[in-house]
Amino acid sequence: MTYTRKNVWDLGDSWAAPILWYARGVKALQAKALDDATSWRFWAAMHGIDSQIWQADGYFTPGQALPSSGLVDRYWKQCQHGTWYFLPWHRGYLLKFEALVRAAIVALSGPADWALPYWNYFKDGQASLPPAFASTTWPDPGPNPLFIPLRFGPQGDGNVTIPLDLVNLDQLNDEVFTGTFRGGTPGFGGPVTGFHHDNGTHGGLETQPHDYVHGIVGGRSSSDGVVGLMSDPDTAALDPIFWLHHANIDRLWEIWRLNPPSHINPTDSRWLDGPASTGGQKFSVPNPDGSGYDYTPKDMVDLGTLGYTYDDFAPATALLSVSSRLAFLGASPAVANAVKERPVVPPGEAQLIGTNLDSLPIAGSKVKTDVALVRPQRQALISSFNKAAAGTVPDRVYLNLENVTGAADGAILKVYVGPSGQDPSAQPELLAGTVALFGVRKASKVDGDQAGQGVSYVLDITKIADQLHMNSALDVEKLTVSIVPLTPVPASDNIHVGRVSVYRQVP
Amino acid sequence: MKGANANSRRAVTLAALGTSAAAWIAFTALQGASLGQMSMAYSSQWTPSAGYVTAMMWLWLLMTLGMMLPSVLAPIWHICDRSFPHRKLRGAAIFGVAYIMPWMALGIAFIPIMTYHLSIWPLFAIAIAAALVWQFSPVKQHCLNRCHSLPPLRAFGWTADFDVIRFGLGHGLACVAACWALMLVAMTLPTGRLVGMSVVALWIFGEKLERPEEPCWRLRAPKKIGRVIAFKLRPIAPATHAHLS
Repeated sequence: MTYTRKNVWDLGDSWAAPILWYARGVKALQAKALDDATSWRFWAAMHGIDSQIWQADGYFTPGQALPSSGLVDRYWKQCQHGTWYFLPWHRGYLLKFEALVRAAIVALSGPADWALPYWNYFKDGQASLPPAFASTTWPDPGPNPLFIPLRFGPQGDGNVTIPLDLVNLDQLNDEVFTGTFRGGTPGFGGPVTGFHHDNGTHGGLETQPHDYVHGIVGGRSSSDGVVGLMSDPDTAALDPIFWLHHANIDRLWEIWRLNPPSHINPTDSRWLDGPASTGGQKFSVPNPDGSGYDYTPKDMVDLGTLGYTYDDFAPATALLSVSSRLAFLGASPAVANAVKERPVVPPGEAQLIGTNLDSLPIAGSKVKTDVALVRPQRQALISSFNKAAAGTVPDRVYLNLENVTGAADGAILKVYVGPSGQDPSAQPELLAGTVALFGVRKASKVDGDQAGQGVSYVLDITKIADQLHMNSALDVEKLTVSIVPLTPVPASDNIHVGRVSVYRQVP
Repeated sequence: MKGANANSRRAVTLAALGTSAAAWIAFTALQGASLGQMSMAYSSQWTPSAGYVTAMMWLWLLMTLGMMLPSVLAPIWHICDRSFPHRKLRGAAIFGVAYIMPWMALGIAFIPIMTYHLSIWPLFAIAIAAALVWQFSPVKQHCLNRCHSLPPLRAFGWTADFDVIRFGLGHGLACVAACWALMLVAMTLPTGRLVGMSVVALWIFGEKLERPEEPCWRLRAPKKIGRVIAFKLRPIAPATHAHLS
C-alpha cells in the first residue's frame, strides 16, 4: 500500500480526519512513559535531549525511570545536522514515526491508511500555523494535544505566521547535493561528514527554510525570554508541528530531485552506506513493535519503495538558470543559451577573498561590520565576471558567518551586504538571507559534539554580487555587512560571530 | 581556481605525511646508535652536557613529528581553508612550530628517563598504572575534546599570526595533556621501544578519530578503525525494503 501525505491546509477542515486522528495518536503517545520506546518523549529524545531544559520546560522529572543504557546509546541524541546525512536521517525518522502514530491510530479504531500531513507554508494563504495547532481545544474532551504553550512565534506573543519575505526556496536551485564546510557552497543537502549529531555548517535546504521555520515557530517569549520548543534541536521534536514541518522539508527534497533531472542524490558509498561505513554510529529507530530498524541513506532514496508519496510535487519556485545569469551579466541571448546543456560538475575549491577584522558580538537591534577584500582575489573575482559576456560562467560568491556561538537559540538574523560606506539594511535587494540560530546553544558547549565551535552559516550572495558588478560597485576594498535581528537580541545570549568572510568559488 | 588551489588540501596532506615518514625514518636510524653512544659517554655523570641534551631534543623532535603529524591534519586543513592563498603555507608552518612547543617541553621532562636508564620494569609498571587511570578519566576526555576545536582565525597581518600561534599552542597543550601518559608508557618500555612508540602513535591517531564526548569516567579506547574494518567485512544481506505499518 502507498500512503499519501497531504497538505494540512488542503484537508478541507481544521479538524479533518487526518489531523484529528494525528491529534489522537499524539495524545496516546504522550501518555506513555519516557522509558517506553514507543512514547512521545522517547521519540523526541531521539532527535535530541537536554535534561536540564526538559526539566525546566516540564518534560522531565529527576528520578523518573530512564530507558536502559543500551536503548539510550542506540537511539537517543541521533539527529543529523550540518551534514549530508541531514535529509536521509530525517526521512527514516519521519517514516517510522508515521508508522508509530498509525499503529496508535489503528489501536484506537482509526483508519489504517492514515498518513502524516505536511505544512507547506509557501503556498498562498498557508503561512500561518494550521488552526488545529493554534487552538487550545479540540473536538475530543480535554486539552488539545497539538497545542503547545512553548510556541511563541516571530514576535514572541504566541502568534505563529511565517514571514514570507524572509523565507525562500532559493536552495532548490542548488545544482549539487553535496558541499563542504570550507567556505563555498555547502550543497543542497549538506557537507561531507561522518556521524554528525551536533551542528557545524548547515546545508542549503537545512539553512533555508528548515532552520528559519524552526526559529520562527518556536521563537522566544516576549515576556520572559523563554525559548520555544521548536527553536532548540534538543526540544524541537516535542512540538507536534515539528513532524509536519519536516514532512514538508522531506517533500522539498523530492521536489529538488525531480526538478530538473540533473539533480541527483550522492552516489558516494560513504553517503549511501551511512556513517557506519566510516566507523560512525549507524542510524537506528524503533519499529512500532519495539524492535530496531537500522537504515542507511541508500534505503531512503526511493519513495515508492518506502511506500509513501505526497499529493503535490509541483516545482515550488521558478528555477534560475545559468543562462539567465549570463544574460543579466551582459551575454547575448545566443551566448547565454549555449551554456544550457553544460554538464553539472562539482564546484571548484572555494577561495577566501575577504574577512572582517575581529569577532562580532550580536546584541540589540543591529550590528555592522566591514569585510576587507584583498586585491589579488578581488581582481580574480572581477575578472571572472568580465568573462560572462563571452559565455564563461563567473564565480559564485558566498558570505560566511563562521563559528556563531551563544548561550541560547531562537534568534533570527537578517543579513545584508553591500558596498562600504552605506547601510545595506536600508536596501531590501541587498538582503543576503536570514539565518536562525537553531542548535547554536548546544554547538557552543566546550565538551559538546562540536567542541564549542558553534554553527557556521553560508549564504549565497551571487545575485547581490551580480547586481553590484553591473552597478560597478563590486571592485571595492570593503563590503559592509549588516546583521539585523528580527527581535532585539539580549546581551545575556552572548551571541558572537567568530568571523565574517567572503569566498569565491568556480561553479 | 580549479587549477592552482584546486588540490591545496591534498598538497598539504602529502607534505605532512611525507614529513612524518621522513621523521620516523631519521629517528629510527639515529636513535639506537645515538642513545647507545651517549649513554656510554654520560652514564657516569649526574648532569648531562648541553650537547647531550641537544641531541636528545633533536631525537625527541623527530619522534614527535613522526608520531603526531598525522593527528594534526584537521587543524592544518582548517588553517588552509580559512586563510588567504598567500598565507596558507605561512599559517600552517607557524601552527606547526607553535604546536611542537608543548611537546618539546614534555621532551625535556623525559630526558632523565633516557639519561639515567630509567626504562626499567618497575617504572614501566608505574607508568602503565598512571596511564590506565588517566586514560579513563574525564580530564583525558576533556583534553581529547579540545583537540577537535577548530576556532575562527583572523586573516590579516600580525593578528593572523597571533591567532595561529594561539591555535597551535592550545592544540599542542591539549594534545600533550591527552597523551602524556601514553608517551610515558612508551618511553619507559625497557625493550622494543620503537615498536611501543609505533603502537602508541597508532593509538593516539585512533583516539583523535573518535567524536567528542561528555567527560566522565569511562572505558575509553579508539574503536573507529575497528568499526570500519568490521563494516567492510560484514556479510551482505539481501536487499529488503521492509516498511512496517
